[in-house]
Amino acid sequence: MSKKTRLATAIFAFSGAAVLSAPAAFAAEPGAEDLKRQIETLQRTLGELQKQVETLQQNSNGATQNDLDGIRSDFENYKYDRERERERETAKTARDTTLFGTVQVRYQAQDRGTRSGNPAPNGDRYNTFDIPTALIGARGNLFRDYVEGKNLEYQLSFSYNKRADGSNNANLNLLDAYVRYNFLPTVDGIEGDRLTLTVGQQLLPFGIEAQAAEDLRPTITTATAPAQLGLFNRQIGAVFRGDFKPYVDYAANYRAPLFEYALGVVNGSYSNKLDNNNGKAVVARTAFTLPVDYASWLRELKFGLSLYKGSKNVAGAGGGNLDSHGRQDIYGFDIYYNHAPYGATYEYWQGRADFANVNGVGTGEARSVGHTLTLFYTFGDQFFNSIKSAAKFDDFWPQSIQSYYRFDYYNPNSKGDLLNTPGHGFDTVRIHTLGFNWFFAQTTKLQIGVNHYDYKHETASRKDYNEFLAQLQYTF
Amino acid sequence: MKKLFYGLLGALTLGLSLAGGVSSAAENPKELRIAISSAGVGGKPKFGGSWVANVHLKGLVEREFEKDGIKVVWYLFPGAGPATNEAFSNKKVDFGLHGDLPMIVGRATGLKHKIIIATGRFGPLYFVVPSGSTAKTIADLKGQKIGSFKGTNQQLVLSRLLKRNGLAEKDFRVINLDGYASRTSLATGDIGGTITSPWSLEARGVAKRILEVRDDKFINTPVTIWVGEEFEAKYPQIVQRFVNVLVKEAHWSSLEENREEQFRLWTQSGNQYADYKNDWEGYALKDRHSPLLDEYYISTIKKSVEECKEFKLIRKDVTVDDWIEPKYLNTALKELGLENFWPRFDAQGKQIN
Repeated sequence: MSKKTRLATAIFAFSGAAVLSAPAAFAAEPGAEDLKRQIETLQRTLGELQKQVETLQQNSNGATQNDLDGIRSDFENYKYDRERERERETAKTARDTTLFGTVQVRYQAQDRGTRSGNPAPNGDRYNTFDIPTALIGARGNLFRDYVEGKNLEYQLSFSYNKRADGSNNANLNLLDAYVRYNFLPTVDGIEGDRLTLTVGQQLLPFGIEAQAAEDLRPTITTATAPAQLGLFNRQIGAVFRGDFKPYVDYAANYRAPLFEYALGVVNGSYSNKLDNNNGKAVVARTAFTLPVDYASWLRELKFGLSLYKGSKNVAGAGGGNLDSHGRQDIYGFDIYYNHAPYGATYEYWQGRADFANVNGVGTGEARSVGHTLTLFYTFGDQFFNSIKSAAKFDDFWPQSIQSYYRFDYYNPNSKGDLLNTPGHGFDTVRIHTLGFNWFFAQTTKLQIGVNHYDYKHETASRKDYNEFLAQLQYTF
Repeated sequence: MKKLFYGLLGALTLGLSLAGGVSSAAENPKELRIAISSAGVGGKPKFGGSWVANVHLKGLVEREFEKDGIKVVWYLFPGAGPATNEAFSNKKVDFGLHGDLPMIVGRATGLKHKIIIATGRFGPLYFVVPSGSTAKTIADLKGQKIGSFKGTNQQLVLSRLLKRNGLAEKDFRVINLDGYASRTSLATGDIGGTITSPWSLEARGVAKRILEVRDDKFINTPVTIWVGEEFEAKYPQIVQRFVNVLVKEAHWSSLEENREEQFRLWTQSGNQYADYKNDWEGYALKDRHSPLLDEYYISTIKKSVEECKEFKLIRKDVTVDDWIEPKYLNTALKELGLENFWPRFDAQGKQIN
């Protein structure tokens, strides 16, 4: 029985007793003294009850009118503050938007002088500071499907580029500009298949490294072959990406899509450019991930095949177009293995592209080959979802040091000499890299690396050299 | 520069060798790492609802191992049981608190640990729908979305509940949402229903119960603490001291005079006092806080294994008898004179002492 109920019962009992005692009083016809005593008794009882009521009110856990008024005032003040803050201090957009950006600050030193990147007049330099990347963008959704999660999303980003014209100016170039639609539900968790269509300027679904955005690339310098073959360039077109038959291990919330696929059509003329001929480029990729549990040593072992089949304009000696449907094909094979703390990736590229013959008459095919092997070992908990999502009060993020070794090989043309494209592997380069990434905050890392460049044929302007790089990268 | 290149390589190799050597030479562990498959509201690093929460909130393990210089690290995982498995797979934790499903699935995929103590049993179950829902029974929600935190013990609880009502997961669209996301989705009407504590949702007028189960000892199964086999083999004395701390606090929590105090303590998790008060109303603390690995415990884990197979949640069999290591609990009960303090239940859920 609650205190209030007990009080009500007591009052009722008291009232009842008073009422019941009334007929008896009339029956006995009490005198003035009796009545006085009864009144005094009643007054005492009433006073005690009054005290009980006051005590109960003081001890009551229930809210009083004053309490409610206070809360109401607080709410009104809060609403007022929110409205004012939103009006004066909040950036607003018409749709859900997340701003993001990546900046890299780099110091590099090498044991051979260079003048690359600067027009004449200039002198040799052995070290320099640099801002290799500074990009900013926005992403969000244009339509949110609350029932199925078949959302329409967008991304728009820009990156600065240094001008090599001797000025101190830079360009701001468009990077990503696309919309993406999810054809399949995304609210079913990790069991469901995925299928999206991305239309606009975007990264190509080719291999491993070329698909990674700037902030996610594991080494300071990128692999040579995809850079030389133009695979890091964004292209304009439409690309389907998806996967099916995911192997799900709920023991660790691990999802391994058995098959991933991508198929798309792009201009083939790289970013920020109309198509420069009447041939579109087709890009396709498929990957197979071993269907094993998270606890297996074979988890995250993936094999991929990629294809880029395009048409290029082949420039003749005088700059004229020899062929608008020249071959520009790239074949790729990759292996990805990530079993923290160990990790390894291997990528193979083979390019087949037409160039003008040395004599400027007709075209011939150059065949390029590249391999990149990267081995990782990580100290720390950066790559464990459980640890990095552990509940913490402060700005917690597990620190990690990811050490790596990379061997990078690229032969631009293993066939015969072509115009401006020496053959027989003349321009072959091997690069050994040793370095580490120190992840010391959620989105910030310090990268240190040493590169050794080993050219198959040294020339007067191209000698083997060593390079030291230190780069601080932050994203937001 | 070549010297620098090879120097860096040498330093890396030396670093790796040292990292391997230090840990194997230690007599006592430097750290005692405990994974809790739970966290507070909004990912707050505090939890409630069991005497293990008291151990954490009062810093009792820290106090026990302070004199040995052993650092105690608690990992409270909003990712619940699957996150605990992920951390243990990667040798990041030594002890884990788990519900039945993630523990069994982890074991089936090769994780090697020993069950050393139970931490809670029985308790109510509520099926909650948005306040505007016209559903009167779970069957009325056929074809609709139901929220469930897959991979956690809640997935198995839902499967059991549906089966008892002549239903199956395929009759609904079960989507994967963690506990707090499910509650938010109830408020926004994005799901048709879920299993959750209803009290604060009802107080806000956003949801209501359509089913309440309070007397079924087999709908919610016991929660367990295990120790990694490697750690147990290497540091049995540490495991014993750890279990002693747990049993002592389980005893404190099981005393009725401490009911209110521990409910207040648990509110540090962000959950409301009323949630705990109502959830524990009508239950004896001794029954629900039992750390015993009695017949009831063993039979429910065995049943859960069978259910995991029936619902196709595991691909390999799991044996239970060789999984349980009761010696630490038995020693603790004897040392603390608590051998007969908690009631024992048989395989059918009947009290036997």
